[in-house]
Amino acid sequence: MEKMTGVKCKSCGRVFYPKRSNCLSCMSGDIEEVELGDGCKLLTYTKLYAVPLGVDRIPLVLGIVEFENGARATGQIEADHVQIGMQLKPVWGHLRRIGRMEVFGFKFTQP
Amino acid sequence: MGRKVAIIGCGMSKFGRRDDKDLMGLLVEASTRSLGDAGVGRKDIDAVYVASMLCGELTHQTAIASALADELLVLPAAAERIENGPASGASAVKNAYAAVASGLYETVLVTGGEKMRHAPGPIVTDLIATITHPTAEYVHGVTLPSLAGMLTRLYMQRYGLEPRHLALVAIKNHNNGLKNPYAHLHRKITLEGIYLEPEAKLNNPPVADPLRMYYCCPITDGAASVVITSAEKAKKFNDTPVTVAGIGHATDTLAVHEREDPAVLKAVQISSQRAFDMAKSEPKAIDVIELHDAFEILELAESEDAGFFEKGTAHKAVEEGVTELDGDLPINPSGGLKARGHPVGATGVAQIVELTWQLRGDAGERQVSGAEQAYALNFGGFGNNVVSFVLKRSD
Amino acid sequence: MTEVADFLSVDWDVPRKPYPAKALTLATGEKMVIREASREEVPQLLMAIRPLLDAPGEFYDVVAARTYAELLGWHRYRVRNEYCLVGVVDGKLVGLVNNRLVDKDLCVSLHTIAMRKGRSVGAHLFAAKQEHAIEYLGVSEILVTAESPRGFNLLVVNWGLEPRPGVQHELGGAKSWVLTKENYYKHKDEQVFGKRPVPGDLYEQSLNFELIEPDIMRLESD
Repeated sequence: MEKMTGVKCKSCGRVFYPKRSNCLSCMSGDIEEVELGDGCKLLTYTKLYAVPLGVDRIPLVLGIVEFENGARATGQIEADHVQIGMQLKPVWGHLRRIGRMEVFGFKFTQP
Repeated sequence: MGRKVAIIGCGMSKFGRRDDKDLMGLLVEASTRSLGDAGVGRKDIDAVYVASMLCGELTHQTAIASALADELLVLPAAAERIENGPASGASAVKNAYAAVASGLYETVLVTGGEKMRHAPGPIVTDLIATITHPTAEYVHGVTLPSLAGMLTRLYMQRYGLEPRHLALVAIKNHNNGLKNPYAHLHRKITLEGIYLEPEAKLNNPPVADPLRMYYCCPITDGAASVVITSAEKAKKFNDTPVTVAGIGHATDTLAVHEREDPAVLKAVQISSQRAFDMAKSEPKAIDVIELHDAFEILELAESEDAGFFEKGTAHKAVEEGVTELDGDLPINPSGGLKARGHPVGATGVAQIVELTWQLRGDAGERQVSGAEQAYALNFGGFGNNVVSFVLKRSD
Repeated sequence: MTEVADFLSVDWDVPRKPYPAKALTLATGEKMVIREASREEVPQLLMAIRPLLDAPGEFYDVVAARTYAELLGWHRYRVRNEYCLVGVVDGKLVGLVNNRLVDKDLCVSLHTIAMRKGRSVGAHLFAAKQEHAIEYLGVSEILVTAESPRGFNLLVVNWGLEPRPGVQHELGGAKSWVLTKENYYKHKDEQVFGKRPVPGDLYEQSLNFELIEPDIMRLESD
């Protein structure tokens, strides 16, 4: 099963997503991959009606989430009553089409 | 910082849906106006900078600067296309400034232009979305309006912003646009029609909720152009040339979610600070401002992070009429991106054109009286690549 | 074999019920009157549509050609149970829509033409003709299709249209969707607007409309 992973800086402890080669905070290159876990909360969201080519669902709910370890991510939100502060968990799924390619990745649903 | 640099000519094409001309036609329309305004001849131009973000993708033509040099017959002048997403225009002006300030070139033509209306909306939206983070944002279906929608919701939750405030900004900009013969939209809009009446739901449909159609700029064809030279030489062309007193350029994380605080436009703060430092000036000294309101939330957020209002209070200033044409601090006298339109590569240059007119006293019905110092902000990426200018009227 | 008399006695016409005019405010603050057009007005409507036969994009030309035929047919008594609503702003025709009843329960949504683009004129007129069909003519369902895919996806979302693959919309060769009475009422609050009755002078002004150059035909426009 796919697990959402980010990276952690071994020097200062900061966790972030997506992967980078150096830490955003302290610039150290001493980083390791870590699982982000199943718990995140919604910081903000939008309901997109003017969807781009390759997205078939209208409206598409997009949001920024924050994990307990401080890492944040952007993604599609699949939930009934979307509100800021709600708890979500990452799930692997179909995101959109780009050209003729079907694209998969992590989106966020109710735990 | 090398020689002082001044703007001696400016001009722009009519912005709008321009089925009557192709991209080159629009670039020429603007360039011939600025060259004529400057009173320079073909032989005087040492370099041409052309700002265009999507000329390759949308008009199937890439080396657009070489093409413009050829079309205008300013050969063998140097020519370069400058691309910095929605901040291409300001970047082109910045590069032209650097060339003249360093003494590399004497007189430079800068023209920004875009032809976008002929392509289907979803395709244009998708192309513009390519400036977002490829794996963390783009792949999820993120578009620029969606990022602006998320910023708006944060503002609503944190600072008490209401959709009504966005409507007031849009109405102000449309009213200003009515006074701008070059603006894309010459359309009066009312609070009843876009917000108060029940039918406003259909008149003003959601784009990226809470952002609605009238809180977002249109897709536009058009070009804008300036001619710049050393301040010393400028006196030969103009009694009161407009000097480029300060430039500030700053970047921030590509993915919006990695910003220190997603509601704070840090690159705007730094870029603005740098421009004021170079100009030895401050926000209080500014008389007129052109901001990058691709979405009306951005006019509010930029005006705060650039230093003109306390964070989270710009919407109150709008309510009080502070940013109206006749207010204490007019913002977007041209109509902004909202009403003037947003041909992506042209916008940054069009802002400089408007402020040059303002500082010369040539802005007609839009004139802000006694304008001596002006500020422009061109917002690249989604706030991760920002270029700002401080312009001064030199007497 | 049926008796000819029996055959002639079948009433093909569904009793016509008028659409009470309404007025609503557009984004510009202007008032748009939406009222039923009479058969006598068809020649003027044909003149309004004619330039669009050469329209350069968004299938306006196909829509214009088909709508022209529908209205002409109605005018010359070749088409039964057809209705046309017009949108008038400041004495100018800004849009028209038409429907046709198959029988008292089924309506076929024909076309929507907006001379003024980007002002939600088309959206308001589309909603008005479905309001007429469901609330005044009393049908249970409306068959909908569209030439242009662009606005159509939004229509499916905004009205909860359901696909009806077995049925051929008379415009032929395109997918058929249905707006049920149930879904109409579910979405009415978000889609159907306007106040009745229309104030006297505003209504008077909408009676003799002028024609305007359609936005899509202009080289330079919004």
